[in-house]
Amino acid sequence: MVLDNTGVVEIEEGIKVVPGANSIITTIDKVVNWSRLSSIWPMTFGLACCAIEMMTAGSAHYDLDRFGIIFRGSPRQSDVLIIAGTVTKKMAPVLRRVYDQMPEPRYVMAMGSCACSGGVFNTYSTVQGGDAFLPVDVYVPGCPPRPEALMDGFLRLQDKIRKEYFRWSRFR
Amino acid sequence: MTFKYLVKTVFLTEILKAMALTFKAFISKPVTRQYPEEPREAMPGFRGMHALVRDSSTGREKCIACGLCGAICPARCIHIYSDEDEDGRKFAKRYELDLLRCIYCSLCVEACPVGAIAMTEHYEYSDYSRDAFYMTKEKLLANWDKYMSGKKGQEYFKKFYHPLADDFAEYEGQALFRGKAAERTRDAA
Repeated sequence: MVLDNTGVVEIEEGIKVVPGANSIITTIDKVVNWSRLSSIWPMTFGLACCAIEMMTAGSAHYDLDRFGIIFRGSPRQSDVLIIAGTVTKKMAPVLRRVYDQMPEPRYVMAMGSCACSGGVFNTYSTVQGGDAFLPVDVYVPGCPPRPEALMDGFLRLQDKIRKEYFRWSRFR
Repeated sequence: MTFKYLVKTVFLTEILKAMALTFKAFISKPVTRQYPEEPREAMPGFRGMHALVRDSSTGREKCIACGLCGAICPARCIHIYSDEDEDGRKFAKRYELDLLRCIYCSLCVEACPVGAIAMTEHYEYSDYSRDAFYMTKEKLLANWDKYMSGKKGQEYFKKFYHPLADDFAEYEGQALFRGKAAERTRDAA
């Protein structure tokens, strides 16, 4: 740390900051991130058998509502797109369109082997992983993953949102 | 119109019955498991993340790099690169497993002639990138130490693994891979 006459602090080589300038932004960051992570609304988009586990995770025994995760029927109201199942090449444009309709900030979770990498279906008609056409944030492996594994994925996504920096305002 | 029907319609007994059920559910214990705080134990034989068995006598993996697990794998997610050691024995130089492709059928465990691969009860391992799911030999061996060490690992094979012979390597007429190093020693003798 080197202090010169202007009051600028060099925290790393080549990176200079004014002390205290970030305190406002990081405080708003904390509030915004907290509100986002405690109301993740996923888009209901079941593609295959993983959707059954997704429904189970939302039911009374597992109860995703405890985390503020409420399934929505419209992409305009949702924050997370769960790719739950095999993505065929016929279905991929539909999934992409649903993703494009979602407002920012939006996240994508790949649930299950098929959505993560294509899984056992290394065939002509299957997309080899949801990350071929969507920016996947969290991969949840399993065939299908247990509801707990999906919840673990959600908790990991919450951690990711918690660490976000300056993802608000029109200058982001 | 009977008298019974009249009572039912006038006093709304069916609604009262339904409300009694609702009230019963209201005062009974909730069924929800509070997941991150109280995780549910996996059933015995649950098929989670893989582990390569570490031989306690040698401290190395049991795997003989025969490639049967990779051959039977329906998702083709196991990649084995074999090599020869000084004694001329075949061993897996690289044992790689793509967890994102795996469908957790445990056919690799059944196919293995020496019981060198097992499936642990660990299943919460979501991550942000694909790299974390590409398992190497070192990672798989570390899985064995972490999840299946001690009594648990021994019982796993007693319960869920049924080899064709009790000790596959010892039976009469068993063809063992010796390779070029063994040929050299044989020629020298």
